[in-house]
Amino acid sequence: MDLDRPIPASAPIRQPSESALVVRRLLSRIGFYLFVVIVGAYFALPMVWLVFAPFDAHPTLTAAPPSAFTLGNFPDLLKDPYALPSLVNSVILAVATMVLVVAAAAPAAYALSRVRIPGRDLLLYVLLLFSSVVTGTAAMVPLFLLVFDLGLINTQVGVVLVLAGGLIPAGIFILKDFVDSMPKSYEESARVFGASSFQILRDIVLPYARPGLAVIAVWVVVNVWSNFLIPFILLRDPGQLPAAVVVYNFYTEGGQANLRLLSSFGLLYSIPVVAMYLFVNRRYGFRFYGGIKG
Amino acid sequence: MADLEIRGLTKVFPGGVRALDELSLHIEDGEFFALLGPSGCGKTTLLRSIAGLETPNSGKILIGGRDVTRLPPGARDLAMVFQDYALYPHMTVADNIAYPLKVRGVGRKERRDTAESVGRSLQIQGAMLDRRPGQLSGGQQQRVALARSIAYRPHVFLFDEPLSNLDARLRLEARTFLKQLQRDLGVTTVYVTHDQAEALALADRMAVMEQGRIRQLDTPSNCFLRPANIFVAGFIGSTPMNLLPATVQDGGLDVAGRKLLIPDAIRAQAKVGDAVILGARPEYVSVSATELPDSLGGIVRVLENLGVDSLVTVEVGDLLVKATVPEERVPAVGDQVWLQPAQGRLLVYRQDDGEQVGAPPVAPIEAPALAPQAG
Repeated sequence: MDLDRPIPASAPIRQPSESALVVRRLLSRIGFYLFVVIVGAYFALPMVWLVFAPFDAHPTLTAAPPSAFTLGNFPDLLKDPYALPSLVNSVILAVATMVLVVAAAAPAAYALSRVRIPGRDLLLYVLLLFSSVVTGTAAMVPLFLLVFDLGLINTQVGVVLVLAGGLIPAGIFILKDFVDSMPKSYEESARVFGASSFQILRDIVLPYARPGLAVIAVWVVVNVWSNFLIPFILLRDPGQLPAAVVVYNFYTEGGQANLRLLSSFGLLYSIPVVAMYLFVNRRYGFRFYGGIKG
Repeated sequence: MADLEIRGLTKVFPGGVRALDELSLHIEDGEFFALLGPSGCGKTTLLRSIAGLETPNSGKILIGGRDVTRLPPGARDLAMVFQDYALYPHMTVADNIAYPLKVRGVGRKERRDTAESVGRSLQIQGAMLDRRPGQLSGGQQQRVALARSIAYRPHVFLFDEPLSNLDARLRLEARTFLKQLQRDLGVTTVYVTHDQAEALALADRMAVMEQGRIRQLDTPSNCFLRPANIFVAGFIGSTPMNLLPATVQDGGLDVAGRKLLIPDAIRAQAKVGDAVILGARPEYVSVSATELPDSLGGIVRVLENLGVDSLVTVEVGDLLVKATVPEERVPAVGDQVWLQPAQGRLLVYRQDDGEQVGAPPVAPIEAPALAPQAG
């Protein structure tokens, strides 16, 4: 308290500049909050629409509480023969790709982190570069031909292989970061006790990198869940299409969106991803890892 | 239980750094052996080579007479305690202690029993066994790391600066504890440290290393009382040893224009006119307020209180000489005093190679190497 005393003594001299300072600070605070509100609203409005529109008998593109509340949109949606199976298809694709990516990326990341080979980093960067090409539009024709030659057109195996191929390099890249952060002495002490490489991977590296594996798993699922192009091109049979493709069924032939079905389907489509995020977040707790947030 | 033999071990890292240079060494069964040296002297590389975590370029390592040079770490029957303890954060303390048994496929029940019995002997018990390493204090973590090594029942213990992460007071406690433990277990132990006090306190024998070579291999008391060369002399001792340039004269030593008596042991080897370095620990230099014959007269410049003693820095000509004085006889800054090294404690080194003049006229650097039990 005694420390406060000298301030009133000098206050009369500083009075005008201090009040100006307060005003300026207040204004900048207001400006900042305004900015946050605008940015927040930009992202929040579609969500609000997604929550309200499915329960509206006559939804429009405005985000407003339902004018005529109904649950009837959902039974109507289930009448569509492809709506529900498409969600199941999405789950199959996402889970299969996730398992494949994690199973391939984890040992690869461990090996690349621990084994010193010339050009290791270059290899990693080239893989990463190609992977963005693989799932990109540019490689669509060769990819189609490749999958066709393999006889995997119109199979979910083909889609899973292509998606996994595109995601594995980035998965290795992210996981390698986790493994790099593990002290070498962990493995060395296990080696001194006679543990084999497999035992070290199973008992020490994988449990240590578990948050990283969770990040990869969620990231793969989200990627596959929202991927439209690859299943759209590689699958012919409408019964096999995932939700991201089927969502385009809810347009009339004239190109008009059926907002009742589209919004209800959109809600069903987003719930699994949100639920998974909440579950994994609770279980492992997402933190910032090597600049990548899960 | 086993002895440990190193024969002509050389390790050159990619990039040309010679971490170990034709190093030979024999450690007796049950011995507590310390490797001491400044950072980069190769002591950790030697320890890691013994463990099998580094592959030497040439030379042999024998544990209990068995050549293990090309064996993987797990086949060498040794346990290592790392500087950071290397406890697995996702396992409980009990699982950590019993991990070496899990590797061997021992069942859950037996692992738990071993963890409990080994833990009990190191005061790790009760609820502590089910905690994670992150919830333990540094001292407790260190004991868990020890327990894990003991649970492995190795022939040789390797310690890589295990006390350096503890605070000063805890380190002293842990040191006593470690020495007691090693004595009880009787397991051959190699202990790496850069702290000379730790090596002196713990070891039965020690090797002082510099640039991949052993500069002195001896008991702690010999390393302290009779350092073989200037490097060891300067490295060992909590207060640094006085190293004073001098020349041999007829019947004496000339130090900054003052005369000291030449120690009897080297009178025969020293020639008049030889340039030498005198080594005298501050603890073995007496300070007198009255003039003494054959002493170094000078002015007190700095006083440092060390607790029981005070460290006096005296300006003798253009040299600074340090001496410790008991609390009741501390001079004042600016006083004229006379310094005299204690009889038989004055060490004389050759100026050119830094090796000791006198008693054992040894070849420089490779003195201890290749000598013992090479066959």
